[in-house]
Amino acid sequence: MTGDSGLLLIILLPLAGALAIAVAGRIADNLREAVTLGCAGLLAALVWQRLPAVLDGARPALRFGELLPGVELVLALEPLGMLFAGLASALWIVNSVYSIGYMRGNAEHHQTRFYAFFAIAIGGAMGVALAGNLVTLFLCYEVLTLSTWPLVAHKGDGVTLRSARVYLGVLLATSIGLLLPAILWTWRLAGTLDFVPGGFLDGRIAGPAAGALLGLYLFGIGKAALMPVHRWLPAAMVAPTPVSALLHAVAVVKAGVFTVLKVLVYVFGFDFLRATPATDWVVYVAAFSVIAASVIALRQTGIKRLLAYSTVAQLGYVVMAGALLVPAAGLGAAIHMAAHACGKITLFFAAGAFYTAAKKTLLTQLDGVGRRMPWTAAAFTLGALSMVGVPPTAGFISKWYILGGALAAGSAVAVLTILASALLNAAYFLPIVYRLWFAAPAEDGPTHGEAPWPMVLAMVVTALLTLGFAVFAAPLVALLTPVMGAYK
Amino acid sequence: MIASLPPALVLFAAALFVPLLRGRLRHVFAVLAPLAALALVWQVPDGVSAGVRFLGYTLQPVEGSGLRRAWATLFLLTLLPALVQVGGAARGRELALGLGLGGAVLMAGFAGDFITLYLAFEVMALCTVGLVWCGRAPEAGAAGLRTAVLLLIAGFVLKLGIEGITHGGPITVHALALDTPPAWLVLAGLLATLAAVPVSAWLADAWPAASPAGTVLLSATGRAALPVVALLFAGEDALLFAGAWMIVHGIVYGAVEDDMRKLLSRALVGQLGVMLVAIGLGSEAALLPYAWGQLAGLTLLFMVAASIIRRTGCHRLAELGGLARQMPFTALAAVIGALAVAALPLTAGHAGLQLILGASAAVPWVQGLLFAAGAGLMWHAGFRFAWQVFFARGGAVAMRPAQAGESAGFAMAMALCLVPGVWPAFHAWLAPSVGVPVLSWGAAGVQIAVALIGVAGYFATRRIPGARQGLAHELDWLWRVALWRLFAALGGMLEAAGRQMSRGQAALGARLGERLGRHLGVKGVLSRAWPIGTTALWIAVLLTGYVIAYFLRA
Repeated sequence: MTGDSGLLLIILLPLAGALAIAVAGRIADNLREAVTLGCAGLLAALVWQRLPAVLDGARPALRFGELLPGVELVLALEPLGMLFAGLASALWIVNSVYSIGYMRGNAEHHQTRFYAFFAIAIGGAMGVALAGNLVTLFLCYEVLTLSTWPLVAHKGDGVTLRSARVYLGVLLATSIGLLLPAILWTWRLAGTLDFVPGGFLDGRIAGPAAGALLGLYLFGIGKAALMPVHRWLPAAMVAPTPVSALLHAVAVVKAGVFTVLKVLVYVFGFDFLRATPATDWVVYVAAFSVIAASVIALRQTGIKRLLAYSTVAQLGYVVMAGALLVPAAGLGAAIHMAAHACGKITLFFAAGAFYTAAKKTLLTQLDGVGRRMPWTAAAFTLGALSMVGVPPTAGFISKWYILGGALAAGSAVAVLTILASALLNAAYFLPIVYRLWFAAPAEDGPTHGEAPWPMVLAMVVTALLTLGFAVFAAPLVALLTPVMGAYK
Repeated sequence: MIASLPPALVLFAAALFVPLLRGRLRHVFAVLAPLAALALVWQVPDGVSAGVRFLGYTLQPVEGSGLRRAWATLFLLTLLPALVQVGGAARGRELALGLGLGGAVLMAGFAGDFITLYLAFEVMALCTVGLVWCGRAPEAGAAGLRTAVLLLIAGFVLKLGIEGITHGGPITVHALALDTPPAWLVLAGLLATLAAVPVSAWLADAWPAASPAGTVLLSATGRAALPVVALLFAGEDALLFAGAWMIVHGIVYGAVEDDMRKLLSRALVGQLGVMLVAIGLGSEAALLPYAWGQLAGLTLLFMVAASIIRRTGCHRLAELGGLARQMPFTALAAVIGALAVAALPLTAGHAGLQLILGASAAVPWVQGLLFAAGAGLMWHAGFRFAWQVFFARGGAVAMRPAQAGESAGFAMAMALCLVPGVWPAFHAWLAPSVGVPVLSWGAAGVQIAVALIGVAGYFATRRIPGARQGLAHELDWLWRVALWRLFAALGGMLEAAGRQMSRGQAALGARLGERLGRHLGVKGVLSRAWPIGTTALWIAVLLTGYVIAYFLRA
């Protein structure tokens, strides 16, 4: 083992935390929650204290030696991974605060199991973020898949188990059936799997074969939910809301698009892809995913299912932006990862608050709820505006860069997709905003107030992050410019 | 320190604060906010004040000039009587959205760069949709959503244009020539908010769906794009055509609307058309004086309409008449407002209209349209609205008492309509670059004659029952009717095709199953028990065939 062993600590901390949570759960609930929050805080501190060095150009790495000849486990911290790890570790704190309110408010069973697997999942996400080569990334990716299965199946009844099987089935089938062969193919071509800025496949593969390999990666990374491998995401809606937040905002889908960006930037390289017309199809497939998922979302009646399809669409956005292969769009893709996380976690928190406070799960039940739950409704509104991309919310910032990139790349498809998706987002989110604030409440409806305060607190924090996201724009651009290239 | 505060911030802060207050205090606070902003407007120095870093650009949120300050003054002075009049009746969230809208208008008015400009228009869009949604009528939800989609598209088009312009170019606001796609996109995005062709219909769709108070607030703040268009695109021929279309729209659709506020919205489209024509003619100096009368006059008329709706509960022209006896002061306000909208002598817009007509002398078709617009405004705003409601025959109506501040609001708005009319140097005093107009009695006579044609138009057509109720579509027919029918038809076809296909599949499956069943089923040919002799015979036949084939090949 050579290099910066502090990187290993970032992965081991949440795993150790899982053990501690399991032990603490046998002693007292409050202790268990304290351990969770303590772990989350400590992890965020560990991750974030590395930011200044990464901004200064440091790229710490840790090599474990060879597993097989030529196959080695490597951890390395670079700007994209810094972004993902920073995001997931910070949101873990907020999500834990929310979980406490949600799990207690709904008197959920097996809470210790929940918190423990949550911590393992965070450990997996950290591994994905810090992976220095494709093998390490693949292993951590699978840890994340497997550790989230008990969370998705938390409720344990028949319907839930069936949905959880879809979740696990799609994710494992794509990763083992497509991603693993892609990694093996890459290894055979290049003899190495280490991520290299600018990619390492140039000159080793060409033409349609390159297009096919990229296809294996994109559809193999099922967590990026590019249609048609998106089915697991709406299926996973049976999970408790904090888990949905974990899937949609903190770790899982972010691990997917993060891996896609890593492959585009560090395996293929923008320059090589630009010179290979056989890979142009990605923009079209991603654009289709954006539009189709939005159209499906338009027809949903359940809040969480609508949000799930909205996520599929927004992930398509990240892939599309990455596939435009210009600096502005690359920056936009990475920033959209963070922006979407802030907005979507707020929306899920609000959906969970509607459920916890009044058992409301359908859009039609939200009439006039803004009067009873003003904080939740305000947070939801901000999240929705961010999805549409209205300034000054987070979604506006990232879409500004993506649109700039689409113009720079001269891609009319991307420009029209951005417009159409903004309109579709407006068409399914704004009616909800109208219901919350302006529609008359049902007369015989139940009387209720806000959800438990930890949930409201968590929601307000993420809503403020969504609203004030512009503050992070400049540091994010500074962080990501070495990876993506300079804007303008 | 306080002097360097952007005026828009005062209104934004007030917008956040006002829903927390109640009753009289809220009303007073809402009225004080634009006064405070006005004080700051006159502290804005010429040139760019400060830079703010945003998205890697250095924004210039406040750039002052005499003309910018004068426009800001106009917008704040129209907002003021509106708030005085409706501040008591409006809900807290309506006041918040109205003040937010006012803030965005100031933000756009002082924007020194394109990105600030874009941000201001997005805030305006949000507040506009919110105000429409505050209307409690059942159609408010759908109308608000349509408005949201329209303003989103407009915002996107504007953003696309601005990204095109600022990518590589300077971001500071500068006059644009219409020779590149981004410049066209910026123009289209701005004009959409002013209800230019092809989206002229949205104003009459959205504004009347708001509450009466909401419409007044929208009217006081809803024309922020005018000075921006004047700044960016003065003298462009495209504006002549856009304006001409809107003038015709105003005249045609104003003739058929039966709802008071829809009628006024149509008149507003015609008015905006005149102002776009003025910009297209390159007479920006005339724009501010003319717009002053139009904004103040039409806002006054919307205030009158709001008061009538609130006090009588009626909003249809057909149900109203002869209210002057019961509401004499309101009737006076309506008359002044109508005269100001028609820009007759002694009202604020008169001098501006004379200048615009003078500039149009070189383009006869435009001048003709401007005369038609004058007649149309007199016909619709003056007679179809003010005359019909207050002086035509009609009985007494049960009436609720007036709201606190109503008369004061009317008086202030009337003063706004009249002061620049009787003191023609007023605008030059506000913004020296405008200059003191030289008025001609002959031109005034012509305008009065034109207005009389409008009056004649009213009396000639008032017995003709028009399309009094329901929707009168313009080009919006294309997406509100045709597109929906197309979608419905396509959906129906797809559904039918799907049914056909599944029927076909079922039939095919059944046939296939039947055939397979005949051969392979329990009683099928191939599963029957055959005598051993038959089997032996078949084997012999097959073997013989094989042997023959083998010998033939060899």
